Amino acid sequence: MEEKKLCLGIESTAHTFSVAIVSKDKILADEREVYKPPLGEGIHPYEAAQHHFRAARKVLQNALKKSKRKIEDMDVIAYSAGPGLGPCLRVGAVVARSISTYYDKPMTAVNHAMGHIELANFFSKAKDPVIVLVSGGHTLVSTYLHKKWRIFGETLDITLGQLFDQLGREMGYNSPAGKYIETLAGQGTKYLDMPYTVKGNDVSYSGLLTFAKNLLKKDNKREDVCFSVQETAFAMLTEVTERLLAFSEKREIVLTGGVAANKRLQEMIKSLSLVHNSSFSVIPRKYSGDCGAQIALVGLLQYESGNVVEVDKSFIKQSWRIDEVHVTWRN
Amino acid sequence: MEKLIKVGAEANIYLDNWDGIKVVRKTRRPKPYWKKELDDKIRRTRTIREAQFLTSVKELGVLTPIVYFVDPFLGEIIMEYVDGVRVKDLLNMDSKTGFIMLYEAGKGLAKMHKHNIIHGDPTTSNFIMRDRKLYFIDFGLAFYSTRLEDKAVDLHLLKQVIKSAHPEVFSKGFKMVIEGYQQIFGIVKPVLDNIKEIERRGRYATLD
Repeated sequence: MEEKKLCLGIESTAHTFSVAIVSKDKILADEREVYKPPLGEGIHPYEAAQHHFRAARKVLQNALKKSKRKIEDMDVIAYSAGPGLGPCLRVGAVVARSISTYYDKPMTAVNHAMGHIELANFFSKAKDPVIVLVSGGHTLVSTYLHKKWRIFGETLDITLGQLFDQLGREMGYNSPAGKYIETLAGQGTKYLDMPYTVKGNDVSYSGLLTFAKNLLKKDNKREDVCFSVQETAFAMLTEVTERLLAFSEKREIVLTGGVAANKRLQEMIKSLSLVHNSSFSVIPRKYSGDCGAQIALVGLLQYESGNVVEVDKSFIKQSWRIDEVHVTWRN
Repeated sequence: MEKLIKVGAEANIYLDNWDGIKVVRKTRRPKPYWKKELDDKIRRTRTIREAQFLTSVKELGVLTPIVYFVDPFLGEIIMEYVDGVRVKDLLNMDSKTGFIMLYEAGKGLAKMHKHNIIHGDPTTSNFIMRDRKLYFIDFGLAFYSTRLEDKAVDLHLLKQVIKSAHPEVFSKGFKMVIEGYQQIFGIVKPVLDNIKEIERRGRYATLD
């Protein structure tokens, strides 16, 4: 029997430094260390990068130990090349280049968002889905057509993750604040009227954020504000998701990214999938946030379809849209 | 008698018989996964808005289905059945005619924009060709605005749809839209510049 190909993937776009080892059908290890900013503050790129440098060695060792493999066993080294914070991206790229040079392994550069998409597809087994990608870096609906994941609709300003983080910060929580917002929202009862901004297939959350911050200053209950923000923000997202379903006439929905862990969002998208006779799946909680597995998995797909990068041509791109990636592993 | 012909993003489209006429009945579905207050408000306002714009743009020379009956509380409009081909499908079957229709779509949008009406949802599935004439449907997101930005967003949306759903005819297709738009609107540079500006603001956009 032919030995399965192995990919070691490194994630370091933002808060998380993670190393994973995967084969085509299995995640052998996925180890992480997450940078935590001080209470009430957001991510500081240089401090996060410092954290990643300090964590790198231990995370790598843990991943190898967990997978019971050695670096020599790897077929390819993948790293998240963007989009993300420059200082953080550089850490992952440096670690990948070092391993690649020292052990003479090919390297492949992965788009981080592609990782969220393909990892979710790996778990869901969906063939031709509509993707709803919601995280700190992305809020978009996408579907595959002619060698690219096409962006059908997206946020015109901040992402759902940023909306929650910034609202959380206003109340003194640190990022990522999604889980605090979700808990508070679960205790809210009163729906406060909020600005609802859908422009065609795109959404805009910045007006909603300002509005919600002002409501907090005016003695409204936190629980009610969080509840209303969540309801309104998710309603906007479900609307554009429905638009893509109707337009593409596809019948599978896959929810992925850090905010996919939100139960209320899952419930809403599941409910709309029933209306449209579509299947619904959500990425497992453990893999919804940033992780090495998303990078390793795409890295393996890229490697097997001949998409590798020379060490001296390896790059990072702080801005890198998903629809700029030429997909080599799908028809 | 009634027949469900399309489950749209927010509405069900039925082919029906209304007082002896073959009509389309568009019903905005209650969304069980939305808060009722939000859902009722949005369905009601969009139904009224759609009916008003379907009618008012006719004066500008934009073809739309005739509105026969509106029930804002049920979220329902009964209108003429435009028995034609969606430009979305046309582009896949006969791109040459598809381009002519995109040119017409550009003209139609410009006629509306000149009078400060923004369609709000100009996708290729909302343009229907019948007898080689272009009909606009789905005015649920339409609104009045004098801002150049809103007109640019309208064109940007159409550009995005052509790019994501019809990538193989994208450059020619969008060029046709702009040519049609220019014929009615005249000087298009400010609006094209504004589209670029919107794209630059997009997440992770490549700066050039």
